[in-house]
Amino acid sequence: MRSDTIFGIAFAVLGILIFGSTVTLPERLFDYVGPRLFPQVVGVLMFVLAVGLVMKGKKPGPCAGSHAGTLPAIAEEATAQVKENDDREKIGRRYPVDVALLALCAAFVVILPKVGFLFSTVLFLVASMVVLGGHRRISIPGVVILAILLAGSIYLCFVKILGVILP
Amino acid sequence: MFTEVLAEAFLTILKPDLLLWMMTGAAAGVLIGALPGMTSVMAMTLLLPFTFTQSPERGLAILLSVYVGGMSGGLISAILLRMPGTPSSIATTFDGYPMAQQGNAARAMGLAILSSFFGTVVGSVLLSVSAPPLARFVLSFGSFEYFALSVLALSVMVSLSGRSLVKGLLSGLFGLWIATIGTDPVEGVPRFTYGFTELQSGLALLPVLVGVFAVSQVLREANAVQKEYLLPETDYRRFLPSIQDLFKQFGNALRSALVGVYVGALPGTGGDVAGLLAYDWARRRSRHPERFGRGAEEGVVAAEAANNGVIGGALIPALTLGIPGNAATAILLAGLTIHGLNPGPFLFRDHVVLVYVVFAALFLSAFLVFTVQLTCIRLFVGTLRMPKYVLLPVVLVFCFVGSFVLNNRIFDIWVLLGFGVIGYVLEKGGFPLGPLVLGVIVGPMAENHLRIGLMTSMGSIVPLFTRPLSLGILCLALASFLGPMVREWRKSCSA
Repeated sequence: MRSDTIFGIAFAVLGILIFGSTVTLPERLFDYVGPRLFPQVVGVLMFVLAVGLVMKGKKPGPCAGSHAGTLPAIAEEATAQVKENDDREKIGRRYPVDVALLALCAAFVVILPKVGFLFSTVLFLVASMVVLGGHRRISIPGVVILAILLAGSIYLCFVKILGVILP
Repeated sequence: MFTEVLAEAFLTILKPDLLLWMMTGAAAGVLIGALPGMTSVMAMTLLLPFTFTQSPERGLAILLSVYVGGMSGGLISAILLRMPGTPSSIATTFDGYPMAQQGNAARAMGLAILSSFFGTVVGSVLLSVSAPPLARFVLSFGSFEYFALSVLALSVMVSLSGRSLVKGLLSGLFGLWIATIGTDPVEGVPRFTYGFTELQSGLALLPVLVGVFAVSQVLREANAVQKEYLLPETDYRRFLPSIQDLFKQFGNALRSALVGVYVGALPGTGGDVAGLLAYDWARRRSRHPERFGRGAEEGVVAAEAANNGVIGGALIPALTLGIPGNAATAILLAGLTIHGLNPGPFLFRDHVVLVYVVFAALFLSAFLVFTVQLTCIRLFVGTLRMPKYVLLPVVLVFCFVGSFVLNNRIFDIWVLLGFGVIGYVLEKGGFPLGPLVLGVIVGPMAENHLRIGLMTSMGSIVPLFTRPLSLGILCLALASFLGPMVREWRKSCSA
């Protein structure tokens, strides 16, 4: 299945969910629009456009892609960048680094309130530097020392100098 | 009278120790603004307690230097990393980052620094010259005008949609939905909170923006294992633009700075909206609109001149009406009230020197920040030029801290991560992120003002089309929405 079709289906489902969730909201109390209307319009438009995306993915018309290369190419450039990165990653990737890094982020947020900012940051920095291949350049002890120095500097900067309260 | 008071104001702030404080504030603002996830608002918030012990004039002058520094600092990471240091620098990433990728990072930064400086100076001059009459004009805006203005802002989605209009609009609608999460602002009904008390106040803008842009970018860069350094090599020989370049960009910079001042004067809007509007305008006026998004210098100039023009504009309603145009001016006003001063028309009558100190401090801050950026740019860039395996985790930690300190909630870090994934996945699917952010920022403004307008007109939508200002803005929005669509459709079908 093409990615446009998958995204189209996902957005169509989200549109339905948004519209469906508004049904439980009170219609209106004292204003003339109420809390429902705005998200309902968003949900309906999202559904319609998502169906359009699915259809467009299946049947490219003569004017399909009419905006290609003419309007600001933010998406275009970004997509190109993503593809470029993907090509690079095919060369030397052994595991999905993005997923691993994301899992480490989630682990950091889970342990942060339990063990505090300093310790959790050291752990996070060591683990993420290893995931990103830092240990191949400066060895594991080097990574640990660097992580302690970095976490300590960030902690000092925020807590001691700027007076920020961290867990 | 005007010149005498202005001279007195300059004499008040032109003291060596205060200048040193302001210079330090400017450097701190630039550095904090350059770190993804850290904003000028955060820098000002952190510094506010330090100004308690100072006189109101000195405290405000220091806060203003941090504000200007923070707004300008965002351009560094926006250009070098495609991670807007502050939300105001979003539009700078569109062309600044492609320029950096093409080896023109120094040139992009040079143009952006000059444009920021120019925008701040234009904003400060306009603030001091036209504050009272412009504030009266803005005061005449009703809810329908604000609604029309938000429709105009939303029409920019078409321009930000890139390759696929459908994907751009879907991304924008997603942003609009995100903006509806939380307690309904008019009737107080919780919407899409699903039992989470943390969601009742809605999703904080900062974790959403930082997640969508910074975290998603970190995840993307993490995959590019062959690239050891995130930053491209920067050749500083072409750092400062030539005189010809300055002449070429003058009209664009002036127009964008004026857009910034105007947008800044409207409460509830900010540098992000101004940057997007000015960017869109620059693209429409350009002889080469196809270059936008691929490293067009006009795009960088427009975005930076506009987001810094906002500073002067935002101070107009803040000082004359006591209405903060954005979070940063709210902190400035907090600085005033802490010293027992009430912002508003009486400030001009009872503390006229203080008002002119603000004008003078803003003007001076523009020069201080400009000097700091010109002299220390290599230092700031050097801070960001670390090996990728060091920089990416550090950026993530800054994003975590930035999201956490906003409300001291772990929940906001989850929001940050969630939107990081959303941004990452959407971009992999070819969905532009600009419309999403636009929807999140402008959505609440559109809904609230429409509903409040309808309440004041007893449910009648007619005033939206009969009030000349709102009708004029709506016509502009319609042209802005349909124009590019029709033009592109014709072009592609005739090809």
